[in-house]
Amino acid sequence: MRFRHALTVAVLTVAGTLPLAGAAHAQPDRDCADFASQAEAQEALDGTVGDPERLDANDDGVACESYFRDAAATTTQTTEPAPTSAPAEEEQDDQDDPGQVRVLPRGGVDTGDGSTDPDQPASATALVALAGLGLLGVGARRLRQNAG
Amino acid sequence: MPRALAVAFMLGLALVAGCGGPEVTAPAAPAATAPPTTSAVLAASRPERVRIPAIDVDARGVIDLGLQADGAMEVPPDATTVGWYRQSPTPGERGPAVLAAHVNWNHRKGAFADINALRPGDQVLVDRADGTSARFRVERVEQYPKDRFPTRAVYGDVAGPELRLITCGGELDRAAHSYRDNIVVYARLI
Repeated sequence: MRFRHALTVAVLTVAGTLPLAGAAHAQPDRDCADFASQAEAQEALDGTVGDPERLDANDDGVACESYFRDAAATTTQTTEPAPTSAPAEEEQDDQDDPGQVRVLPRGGVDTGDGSTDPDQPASATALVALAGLGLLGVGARRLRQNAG
Repeated sequence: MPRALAVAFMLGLALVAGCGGPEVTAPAAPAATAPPTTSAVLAASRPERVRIPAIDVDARGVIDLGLQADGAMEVPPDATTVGWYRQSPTPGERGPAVLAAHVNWNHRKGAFADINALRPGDQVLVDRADGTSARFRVERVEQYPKDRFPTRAVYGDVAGPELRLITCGGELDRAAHSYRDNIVVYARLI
């Protein structure tokens, strides 16, 4: 966390006059420098179809990897001495080497067309059951009112 | 919390059914067997058949899946075939081996239609091309909106050999003939 904070500070410093992160989020086309971390850039990339903001120039499914590699290098050179052990662990999370899954698929997986929709009857039953309970509740209240 | 609900639900059922018989005894705690130390990691070998006895799945002829032009994972061409994402480890190797199949497709029930019913402890067997069989134990079942799919959690590096079963679930977008969510089963080699 502390490392990420340091990274954020460093990136903002490097970015100099860029608008604050909050404002950047509202912009339609962000650059790597607009993200505080590779993870945030990855989230943005994963959350869209295609790569409209061009966060993945080499099209390997990993967003802004070279940008944040460079930023991390800059950070270690320019920031005050940071705790030494924690950053190493953090860095492993964002490593650029191919992971065990060599290329990360983008977004979810489209495994179903709804043509037999097994979930529908179940949820319909649940709805009917809920409606039934509701009616019971109303009925019970009526009964009480009638009694009183 | 879900377990507590399930227990409450079962107690409720027992009451409804008027079960006055002997109390349901909890299954005997498993004798202190060897702790689940890291299992032997298997050499790479393509998956050929997937068996999930708890939900009557026996899918032969596992195919390779790559990526579509937009970077999303390919899906099998029919309802009953299971696909292995070929950029992931083979089942039994260290890392998350990724298998995907439809919940339903072209008016047929899919191979993974019932994986949302899997429970921790259920087993998934993957027969491999080298004649070995990798046996996995289900750890948990998650449901994620497709538009907020946790790529790192599902596909990120792990300490030992693991398995991910992926299909669709949740609400159906009828216009798009597509589900809004993905079901992901996390399992670990035993």
